[in-house]
Amino acid sequence: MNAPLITSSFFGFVGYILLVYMLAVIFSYSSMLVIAFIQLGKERKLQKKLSDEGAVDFIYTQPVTIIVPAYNEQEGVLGNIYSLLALQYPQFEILVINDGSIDNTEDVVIEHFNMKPIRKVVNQQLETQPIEAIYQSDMHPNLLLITKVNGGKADALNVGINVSKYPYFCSIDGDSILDNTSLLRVMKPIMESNKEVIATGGTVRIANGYEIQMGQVVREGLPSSTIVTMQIIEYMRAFLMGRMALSKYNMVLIISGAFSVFSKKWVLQVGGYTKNTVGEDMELVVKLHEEISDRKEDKEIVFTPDPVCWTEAPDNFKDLRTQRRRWHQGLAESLWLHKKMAFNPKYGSVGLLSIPYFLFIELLGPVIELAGYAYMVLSLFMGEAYIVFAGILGLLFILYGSLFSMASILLEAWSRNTYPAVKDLFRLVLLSLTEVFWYRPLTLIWRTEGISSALRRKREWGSIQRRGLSEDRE
Amino acid sequence: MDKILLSLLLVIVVLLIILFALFFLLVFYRMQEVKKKEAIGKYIEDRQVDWYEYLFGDGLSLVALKPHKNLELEAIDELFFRINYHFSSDEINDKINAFASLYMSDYYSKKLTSRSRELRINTLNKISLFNLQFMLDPVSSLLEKKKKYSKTELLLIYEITVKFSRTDFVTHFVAPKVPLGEFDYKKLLMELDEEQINLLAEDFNVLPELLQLTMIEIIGVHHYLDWLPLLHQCLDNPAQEIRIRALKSIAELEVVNSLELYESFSHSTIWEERLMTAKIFRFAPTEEALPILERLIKDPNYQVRAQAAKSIKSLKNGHQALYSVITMSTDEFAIDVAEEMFGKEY
Repeated sequence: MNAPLITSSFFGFVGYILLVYMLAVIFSYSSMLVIAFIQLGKERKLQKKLSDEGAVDFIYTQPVTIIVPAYNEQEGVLGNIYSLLALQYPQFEILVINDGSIDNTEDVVIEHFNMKPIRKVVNQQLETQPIEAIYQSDMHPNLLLITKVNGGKADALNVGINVSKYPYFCSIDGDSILDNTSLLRVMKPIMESNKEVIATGGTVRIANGYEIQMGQVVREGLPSSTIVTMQIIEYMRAFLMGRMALSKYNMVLIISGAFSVFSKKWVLQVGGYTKNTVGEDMELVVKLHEEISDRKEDKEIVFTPDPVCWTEAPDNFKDLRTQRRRWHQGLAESLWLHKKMAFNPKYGSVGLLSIPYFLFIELLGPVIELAGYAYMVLSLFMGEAYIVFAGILGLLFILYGSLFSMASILLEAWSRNTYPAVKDLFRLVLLSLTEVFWYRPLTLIWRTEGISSALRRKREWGSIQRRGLSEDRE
Repeated sequence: MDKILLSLLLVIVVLLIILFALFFLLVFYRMQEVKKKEAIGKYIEDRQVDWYEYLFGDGLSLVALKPHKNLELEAIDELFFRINYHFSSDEINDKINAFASLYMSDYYSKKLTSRSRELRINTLNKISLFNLQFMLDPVSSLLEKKKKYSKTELLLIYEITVKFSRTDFVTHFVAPKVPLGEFDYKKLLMELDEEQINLLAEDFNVLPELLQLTMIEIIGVHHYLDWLPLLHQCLDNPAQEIRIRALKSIAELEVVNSLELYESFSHSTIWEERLMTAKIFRFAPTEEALPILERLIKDPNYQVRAQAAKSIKSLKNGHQALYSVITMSTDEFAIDVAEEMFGKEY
């Protein structure tokens, strides 16, 4: 057998692998799309404001501690706190954890909410960096600011858990804001399941370009930036398709750290947030799944699409790259830390389906897809037979990269009555069709870089420029 | 290979056509929805003075507001929600009931038997929220049907029965059609008045344990002092959770007699029982409470220590007692929680 023939056979073999992989991915996504469609269809006509009315009663709502880890969040922290103070929920406390910020986060909060230092005994259940001071607001006694030595987001959240006095805590990013019914709605699965649900996460949406006053969204609309709009499409796909389907079978491994609620008892049992990983939110959820299986308890972790948290998305390639590298690094680290769960029947559907899905489709997907793009380019030099092969692959990429995004947009618009302006919907649809040609290849490269960072055990977070969502920021 | 490529291309084109068709369909329905919302808004705007006159004044008869179209019924339904959200009084409620029973009975009954589960749930929610008492019979009759209702629907049916019927609810509580959890029982029990609670408590010992636990809690929340003997009886119950809940409710009732009954729980091996005892003693006479609380402020459990410190602070001369703990005690943790009490509290 001569060298060109071997090369050609090998090239053909790789092509078939890529083809089978793409078909498997498309099958997974199609199944998830169908499940999401069925799930959303069941609740589409429900008037949730009616049940919200009945649910606001302290006797059957559990009190919640809201923990806001803040590192250099002077631009967004006020809007965040205002939105939390406006929450429609009977009993909650807000703990803003200033994790050694080097900007004016601390001064801004102290000054704005008239905070005074207090003495408070902290139940040191989790090891953390030392607390420097605790302040309480004169205007809102349920608002506390804790300043501490810098130790990272996970450490700040652990401090919040130590200081918290309620049995459930909600973690919110310092640059995000909540709708006033969000906490009530994210807590509903916990309450209605009679505590069988030990963690819930809500939908995170992008609010760049929205009109926000005093922490409340007063006017929605699409931002002018194409890169931000593309992320809106991406979020829709990830939250509606991926998480809804996985949640239905108690297989969700990621509930966003930007907005999630946990049972404190269970989080303490697994030792709180892990500090030596960049994806502390996913890591905690995987640890909880492991604990549930180890203890053979019938507990659930769910994603609930309705409660919304608004966040600020990176509006330039540099920040977006930093964010995507970090997310993917976190995913890789969590999967590595819990490798014993993969394909292990002891961990049920999480071990047999969810972890393999995250491993082969979410984690390794970028590498394989990039290989697919490279394959298509190389095919041009390999003769006619391969050009056809590359064409098939390219069409599958379009199906996978763009058509699913378009379907997600329509699903979102159908189920939630969002983006009411027809021109906005049209813009989203058209933009989604371009995804596969520019946005997706870029994110694939960044996510592959994340894998490389995980392999090299890089620990830097990288900084993302925040502009703040509220117009009334300092 | 060419055939596969062509087939795939065809699939993608067909999918694109389907997606675009769905897009235009969606836009069409959205436009219709917007139009309907505008029409509802217009009705509310046009008739708000008449409705104000009917609900808050005496001048307007029901006939003047009689709806003639389905859209008007939907607008009135929306109006009821807005009124309910902003105002609440028996008088307004009576007027809404009078109007709805005359003109909207069919509207709500039809929706109750709709094929859509969401529509049925919305209607049940509205009946409960707007206190539409005349809908009790149509709602109760749902339970006699063979149709399988979801748990949410059944809970709402039970809730409506509890609200509008004095006695019929008991069977649903004792033998519900779906297993009810604590949250569900709480929602239902919160609707009961004292007389209904009494009716249920007559058979307390045969009730499901979750219902017992919830009842104990409700007694504390509503401050039903008459049920203190029942709570005392629960203190001898072998179930730990029942004892803890009973102690918790006793603490809510703020009782200052029978203290000897509770003192033994301050030695319990279960920290929740010690915690609740510390809470109960916050209203006791200082001379009786202080020795117990001074012991509990040195408890190995953080929450018990913190509650003991809070309770000492509530006692007569409590500040002085706390100050003594700070100056005299050798227990570092006790000193810490005592000092915290001198700081600001919330």
